[in-house]
Amino acid sequence: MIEIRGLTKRYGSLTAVDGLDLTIGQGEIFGFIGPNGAGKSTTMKVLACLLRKFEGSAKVAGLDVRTHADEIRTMLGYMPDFLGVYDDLTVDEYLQFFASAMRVPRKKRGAIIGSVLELTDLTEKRRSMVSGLSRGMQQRLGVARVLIHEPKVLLLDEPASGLDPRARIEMRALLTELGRMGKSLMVSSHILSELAEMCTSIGIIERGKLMYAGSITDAYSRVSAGERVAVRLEDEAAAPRAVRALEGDERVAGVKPDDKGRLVVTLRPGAHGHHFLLEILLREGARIASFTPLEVKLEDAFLTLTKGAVQ
Amino acid sequence: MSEAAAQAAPAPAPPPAPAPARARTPAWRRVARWVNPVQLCFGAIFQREMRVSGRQRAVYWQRASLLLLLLLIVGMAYATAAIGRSTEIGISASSGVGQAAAQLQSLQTIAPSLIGTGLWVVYLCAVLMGAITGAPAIAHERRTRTLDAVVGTTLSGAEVVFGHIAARATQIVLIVLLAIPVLLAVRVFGGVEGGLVAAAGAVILSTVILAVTLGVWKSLSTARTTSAANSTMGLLAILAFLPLIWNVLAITRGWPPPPGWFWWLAHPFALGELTSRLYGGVGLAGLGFTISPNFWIGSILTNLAMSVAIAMLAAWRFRPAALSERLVAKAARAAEKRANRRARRAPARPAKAKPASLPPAAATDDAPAPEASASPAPAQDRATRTVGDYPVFWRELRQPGSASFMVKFVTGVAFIVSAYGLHRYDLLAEPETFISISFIALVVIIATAAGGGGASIAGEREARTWGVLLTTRLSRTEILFSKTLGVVRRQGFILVIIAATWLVACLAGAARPITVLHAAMIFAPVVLFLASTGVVLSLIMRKSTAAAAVNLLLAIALWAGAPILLVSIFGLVERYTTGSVDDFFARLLLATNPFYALGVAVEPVGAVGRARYSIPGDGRVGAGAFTAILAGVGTAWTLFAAGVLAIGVRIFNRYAYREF
Repeated sequence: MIEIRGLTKRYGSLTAVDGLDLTIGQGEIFGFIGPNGAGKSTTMKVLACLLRKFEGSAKVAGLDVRTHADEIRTMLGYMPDFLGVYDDLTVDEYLQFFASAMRVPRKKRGAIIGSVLELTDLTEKRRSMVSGLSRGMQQRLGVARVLIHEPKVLLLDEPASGLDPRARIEMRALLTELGRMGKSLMVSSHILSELAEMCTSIGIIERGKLMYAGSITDAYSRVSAGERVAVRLEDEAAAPRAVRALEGDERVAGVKPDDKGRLVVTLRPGAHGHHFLLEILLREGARIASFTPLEVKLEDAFLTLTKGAVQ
Repeated sequence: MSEAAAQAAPAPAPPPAPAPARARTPAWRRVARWVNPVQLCFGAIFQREMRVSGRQRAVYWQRASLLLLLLLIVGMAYATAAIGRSTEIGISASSGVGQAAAQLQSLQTIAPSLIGTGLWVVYLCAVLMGAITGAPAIAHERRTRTLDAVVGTTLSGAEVVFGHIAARATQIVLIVLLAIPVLLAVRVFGGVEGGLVAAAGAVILSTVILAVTLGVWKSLSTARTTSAANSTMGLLAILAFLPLIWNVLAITRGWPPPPGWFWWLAHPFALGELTSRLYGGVGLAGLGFTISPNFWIGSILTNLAMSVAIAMLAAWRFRPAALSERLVAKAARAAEKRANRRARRAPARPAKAKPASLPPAAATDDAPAPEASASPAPAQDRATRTVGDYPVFWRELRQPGSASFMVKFVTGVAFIVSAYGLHRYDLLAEPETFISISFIALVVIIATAAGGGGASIAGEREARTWGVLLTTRLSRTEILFSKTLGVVRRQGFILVIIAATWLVACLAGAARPITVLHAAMIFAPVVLFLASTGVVLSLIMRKSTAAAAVNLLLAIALWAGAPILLVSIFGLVERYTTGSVDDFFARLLLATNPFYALGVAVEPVGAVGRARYSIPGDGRVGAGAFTAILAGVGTAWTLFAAGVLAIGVRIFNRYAYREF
């Protein structure tokens, strides 16, 4: 649905995006991750046909953003990172305005507005002035706006920024629902845990360069060479013997104590399951207080995959 | 624990001493900060503003542009006057010495007019820039949400207000100070008293400080920078012309003349007094005005005193105004109440359907949207208005105008009181009253149309709604034309006031009904033209105040600068030709200048019998012919406006997407 090849955008001497290649399929929820100034918003603006001068190519549904901007606008919804609203309109008028601007037939506007308001849980605020909405509600109104013409692709730049925890959860649920409806979503965010829960794939960008693009599970596997397990022993005196025994097994890559007094055992890739660790420890007579497989988080993936560029 | 162990154990650490409370700033220090001008004016705000403006290329362009304009005008005035004088003096001396002496004499005669022209250009530009530079001070901080951060610091209201005034005034003062040497350089020709130029410079500087201060003050209570700028210019105009209005009434009605000190308010008259003396004139005092010849000193002092007083008032009001978020909430609540009232009044519509999810392919023209289930709150749908198929135009038509309800109410009351007052003193039936009001109305409508156009697209940029608008399917033509019509529509309130004035004049017998039609035919194309130029300038420029200022300068250049230029050029041509240059010039002026056209239109006011209009070259024509001429001129201006918009459409893509 989205295809970017060799996208480079420069602002004077600053290269905001540097040779970016990216493909997002239909129905995919793509999380776009990167620090501030990495080039996420610039990439989205190119796709939203707001930036005209750039190198490389960018296509939405096979249409070039340079030459088919009008057609792309009909199938794309873009929500910028800072949402400006017409505060002299009611919520209903605001959505009517954009429905009209997107050439939605007049007869259908009422039904569509009703449905997007329900989807975004703003039905009760239909008559309210936009200026009177809370930040979270305005963000949801922004999502309602981009849905008004039933786009196939949604570009949401930091949709959860500035929202309180409840509003974030609601926004996440809303985006997940949109994904279920078969829309392709490109969502940028700093809240990595939220992206991990709803995205089917991610892209990590730093200083304009795409460091990684692919599925989340693939990102995790790249980050951790193998599974990790944290073991806490009741008798610390048994620890050296247990470490020697664990390191003696060919499936174990290494054992290191962490700052919480646990032994963190890293398994070699391909070592399936970790039940054999229990067998080794019990054989050595170690009394186990806790045995916790460690999860790899998106934060770990982000830090590891961007490490080279940061340095 | 045993006793020994207890003794051996270290004594428990004493609880950490509470942090000493921050000492309140002594009263004397607070007072010292208040009265210390360095602390007040050149603190953090001043330094920030200077750094920010130092990085803006526009600031240097402004300075360079004014200097270039000044050099251009001085050069043109020099060329015009030099050629004219040479012809007048009749340099027949064949000898080189005689020719040089004649040339020197000519230059000495020219120098005052050069300096006088330059001073007026600097005055107009600097005062306009002062108002426009001061107006965004607080309003911009409020819009970019940095005002809370400023309020959260230990800076006092006085430091913020005086800092803004000092920083913004410094920008304009620098421009004036750059221009004054250019003007003084003309003194090498001789015949000019340096003291008069310095005095005129002081008048300009004090007026600039007053303009900036008024701008900052208005900025405190205004959300939009253009509104603040417009209010500032309006206030400056009222201050400038109040003594004159009183004086006119004194002459025409036999009222007591305004006291001499009242003229201190009239800064353009102070400059006029000085430039008149440059030319060797008698000044306003010599023209019968009850003015001291040195009233310009009082004007400077009045400007400065008013600046300090207004700045102190603004400093006192700073925190309440800055923390008036509740006022915004109050406005939102009021709007909500209005919407509810509309909802109660509006007839109920059938309940709308509510689908559980988005209707599939709902937006396509071919497939009809599926019926939705019943809405739980059908009453909510009733308050809203239906947006048409031209949404930008729809919104522009329904956007609140430049005046709030309170302003409209006060203006309406003031109008009724004024009408009664004029009637009470038998002024209502006098043609002069109608003529004066018509000209003032034209000035007001030009100022508001120029300002409104400048805010149209730049205002969307400042509110961050522009990007979203560009991602819709709206065409650039629709956006530009809708914005233009919106600007025209927002002049509605002023036009209604003007129309009401004319109606009263007609009823009182001071104006013919046909004159009202003529005036409307003059006003409408002017508003349309300025709206179109304003919208296109607003597309090109990033800031609404800059676009509004350039649009206003364009109007001044077209309808004040162009006639002066034409007078100079045709005056020259006339010297070497013996044709009907005057007629040609007058026709051209009639076609291009609404003030001239208005003057012709209102001329036969009060005449008995059929009205005759003096058309240069054609003698006097009847009302039908004059109406046809105005229709032609109006069509031409409308076509100009369409042409400007066509240019705007052509350059749309170049400028609309610039900031992304």
